Amino acid sequence: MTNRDNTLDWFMLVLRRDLTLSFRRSATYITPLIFFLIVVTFFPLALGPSQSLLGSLAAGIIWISALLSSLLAVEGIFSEDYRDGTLDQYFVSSEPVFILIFAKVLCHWLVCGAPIILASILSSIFLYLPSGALFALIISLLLGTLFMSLLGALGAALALGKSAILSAIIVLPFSIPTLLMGTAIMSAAVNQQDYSGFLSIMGAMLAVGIPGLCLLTVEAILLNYE
Amino acid sequence: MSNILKVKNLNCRRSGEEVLQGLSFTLEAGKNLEIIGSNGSGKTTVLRSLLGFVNDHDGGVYWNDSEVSSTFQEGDVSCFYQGHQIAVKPLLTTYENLKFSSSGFNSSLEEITLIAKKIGLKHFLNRQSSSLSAGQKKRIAIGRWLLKDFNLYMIDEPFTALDDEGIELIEDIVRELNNKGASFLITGHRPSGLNSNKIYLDVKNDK
Repeated sequence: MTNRDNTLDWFMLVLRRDLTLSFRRSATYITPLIFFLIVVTFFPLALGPSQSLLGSLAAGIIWISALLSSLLAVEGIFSEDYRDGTLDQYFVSSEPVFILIFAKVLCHWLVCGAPIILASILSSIFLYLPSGALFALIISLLLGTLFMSLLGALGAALALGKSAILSAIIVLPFSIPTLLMGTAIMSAAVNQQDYSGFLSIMGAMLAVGIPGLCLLTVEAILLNYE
Repeated sequence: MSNILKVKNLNCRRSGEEVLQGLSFTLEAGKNLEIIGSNGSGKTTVLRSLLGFVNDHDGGVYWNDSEVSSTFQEGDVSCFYQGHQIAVKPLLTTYENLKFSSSGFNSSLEEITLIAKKIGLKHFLNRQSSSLSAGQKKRIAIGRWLLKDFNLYMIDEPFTALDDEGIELIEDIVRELNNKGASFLITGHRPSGLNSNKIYLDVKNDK
C-alpha cells in the first residue's frame, strides 16, 4: 500500500542513508574534488600563466575536468548495496525501485557534483575566466553534472559486479552531447551572446533524462538478476 | 487456511545446468516450511527463483492461489527476503541499520529501541556495526523482521553464526509472527526446532 507520504518517506530514507554512508566514508566526496582541483591546476602549470590563452581555454578545461571527476565515484553507486544484499531487500519490499534509483542519483550528485561546482568557482579565478561568464558556468555545470550523475548511474548499473573502470568507459561516449552543450553555453557567454537556447536544450535533456535514464537504470539492474 | 505460496513441479537451473527437479510444496498462512539440504543442493536457488531473481526455471508458482509466471512482484503477497548477505552496513549504527532498511523507514525511535532490546542489542543502539560480532550483525538482520508485518518471510540460513540464545530468539520470534498469521520459508543444513514441515533436497553428484 503506497500512498504519496509513504513514497516521500521512502525517498528521504534512501537519500539520508546514502548521505550518511558517504560522509562516514570521506573518500567518496573528497576524491573527486581533489582530482578536479589537481587537473585544473595542471593547466596553468603546463601552458604558462598567459591571461589571454588561459582565459580562452578556461571554460573547456573546467567542463572536461568536471565531467571526468564526476565519473570517478560512479561505480560505487550500486556496487556495495548489490554485494551486501541491500538491493535484494529493497527490491523485494514493494516500495518503488524508481524512487530508490533517483534518490541514489541525487545523493551522488550532492556528494560529487555539488562540491565540484563550488570548486569550479575557485578555479575560474586562477584560469582567468571572464567574470561575465561565471554565472553561465555555474548554471551549465549545475545541469551538466546532474545529467552526468544520471548517466553514471546507468553505467554503474550495467557494469554491476564487473570491473570498476567499465562503468566509466560505458558512460564517456554518452557524455559527449552534455559536453557539447556545456561548452556551447560557455563560448556564447564568453563572447557575450545569448545562450538561453543552449540552456533550454540542456534543461530539456535533463527533463527527459531524469525519468528516462532512471527507468533504464531500473531495467539495467534487473538484468544482473539473470 | 489459505495457501500463501504453492509450488508445483519446480525445476531450477543455474547457468544452464539443472540444479533441482520436481520440487512441490504448499505453504499455508501462519505455517512454516524448511528446505533442508547440504551445500550446493539448490536451497538458495529455490528462494531466488521464487523471488524472480533467477529466471531460469519452470513449473507452477502460485501466490495466494493465483498463478504468476515468474516473479513475486506480480503476486499480492507482502514478502520479506533475507539472503546470505544480510545487508548490515558496518558504517551504520544498529539504530540506522534498522531504520534505514526496507521495512524500517516508518518505525519510530521507540519501536526500534524496543526491538533492539528484544534482540539483545539495546546497549549497542548507537554503536557502528563494524564493532559488532558476526552473530550480533545477524541479530540486527533478525530485528528487521519485526519492523513491519509481512505475510511471508523467506530467510536463507537464518541459524548460521548464532549462539544457542540466538537460535532460541529466532524460534521465539517465528512463533510470535506465526501467531499473527505470517509464514516462514527457511533454508538450513539441518532441521531446526521450529514447528514446521520439512523438505529434504539431495545434491546432484552426477555432473
